[in-house]
Amino acid sequence: MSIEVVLPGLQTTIQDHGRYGFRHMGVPQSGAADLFSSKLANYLLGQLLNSAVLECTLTGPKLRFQSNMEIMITGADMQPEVNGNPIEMFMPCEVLVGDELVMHACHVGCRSYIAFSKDLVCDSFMGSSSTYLPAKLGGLNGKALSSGDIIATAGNKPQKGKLLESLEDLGQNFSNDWTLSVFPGPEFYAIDEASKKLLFSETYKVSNDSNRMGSLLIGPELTIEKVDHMISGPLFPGTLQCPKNGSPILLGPDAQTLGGYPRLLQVSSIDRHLVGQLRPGDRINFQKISVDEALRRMRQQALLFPFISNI
Amino acid sequence: MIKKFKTNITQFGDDALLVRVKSKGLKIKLSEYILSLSKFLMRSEEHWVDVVSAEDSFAVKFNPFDISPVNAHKKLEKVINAFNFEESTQRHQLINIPVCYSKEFAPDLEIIAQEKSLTVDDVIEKHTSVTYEVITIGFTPGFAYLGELSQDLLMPRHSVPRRYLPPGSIGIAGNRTGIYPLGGPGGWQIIGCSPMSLFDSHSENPFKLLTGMQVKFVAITSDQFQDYKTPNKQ
Repeated sequence: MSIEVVLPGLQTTIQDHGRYGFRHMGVPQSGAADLFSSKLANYLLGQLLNSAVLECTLTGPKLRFQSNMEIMITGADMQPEVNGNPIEMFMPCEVLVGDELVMHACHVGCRSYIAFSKDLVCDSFMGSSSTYLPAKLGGLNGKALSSGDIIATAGNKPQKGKLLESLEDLGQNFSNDWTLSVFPGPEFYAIDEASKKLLFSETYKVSNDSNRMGSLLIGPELTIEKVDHMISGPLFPGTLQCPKNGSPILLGPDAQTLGGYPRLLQVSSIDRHLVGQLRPGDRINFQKISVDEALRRMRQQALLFPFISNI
Repeated sequence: MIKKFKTNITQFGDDALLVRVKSKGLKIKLSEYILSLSKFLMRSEEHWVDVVSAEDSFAVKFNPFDISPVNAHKKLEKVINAFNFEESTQRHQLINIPVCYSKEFAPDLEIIAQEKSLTVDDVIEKHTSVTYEVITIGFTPGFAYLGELSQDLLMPRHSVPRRYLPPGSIGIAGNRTGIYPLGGPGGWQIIGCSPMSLFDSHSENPFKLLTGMQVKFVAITSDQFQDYKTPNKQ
């Protein structure tokens, strides 16, 4: 009862919905970078929402199944194939002993998720099996998958899967240009008036310096005028912080829990999962949103995808 | 009851609140109050998904499907007002932490000495002569913010954070000093490195340092650093 990793892909890790309750010890949230896609995969398959999935980055893995199961693939399109035949994303796919799943490179979006009808047996730390690479926590010995790894599987999914009525309902329009709805962060006041305008009118590019902790953005430099010696304060995935040099950093799921650079923006929870789909070279526009509008969009989305109300 | 702390709650996105805290008395420990309140919130209230505590502020994450931001704000205010803080009388352990201040581990040490018109030895002396207290834990697992750093060593964070610091790196920023337990990016000025492991996920107690503990740095040579890293010589 296992899955064999034939080829690992660029960075494939085991993730669930993240690690909560230990931020006061500096333990980051972690979990799937695109939580919408990871939960969707489990939801459509009939798995528990928080079940461990594989998060594939830019180029996916090649897996060989050692037991029969169902799989479900969501997120970025890595043209998945089983035994050389393309399979559909967002649809359950039955695989048998000896079958091989191959995931290729994606061209829009950054991360693809594979959910399984069986539970992945992996390391749990502080209530989560999410891999946190910097501290080698969770997943398979705290590491990204490598060739020859064997992921043991156990149990069976508790429910029947759900069928997505149409792909249009999904509203997944990944591209290389993203608009992220944001709120001003706690130190938004710290930048000068010109920078405040730039932040909303200009396009920022995701640099190659990008990982699960954060992405350095390239764009018009911002001028910090009001904050000098800042006492470190709380950060979240989706916080845009900006060091003195004026190049902002957009934080991801493995974001440090505290930081001492001004927090300029916070990505709305309605768009935060998209941060996990940003790839180097992608362009971002930040758009202000009101709390009421964000809540309205959340409720609307929950009509189709009730699982989003489940944190 | 006289309130010893003043709190100010603001919105932090659509699913979190930031609470800035000021202490009205000089001797009252702000970070102890914040940590104690944070733990209370995590235990007591199912609305709060997570609490992130810092030195003079903390953030509370909630599920906006469960409680609206406006109601979360009201509720949090109520809970904070009702919270009865008792200062701990517990005496905390003192831990000696070996640090090698050799050039290869201390990319910013000479620049700091120059900037402050001190010798490198003066900087090391000023860093090792203080008994620090763990003010708060955060950033990465087990990263301890230690204070008070000597006023003579006040330095800002780097304007561009370094992309990688080796585990054990000793940094200073403002009136704080700290140890990076993991390798990774960091913006503090680096003046040395400790061979001591501060975070071990396989241990029953993964965190060596806890808020309130006393810490003293002890200077060691490069050879002693290497010896420390060789397990059977410890």
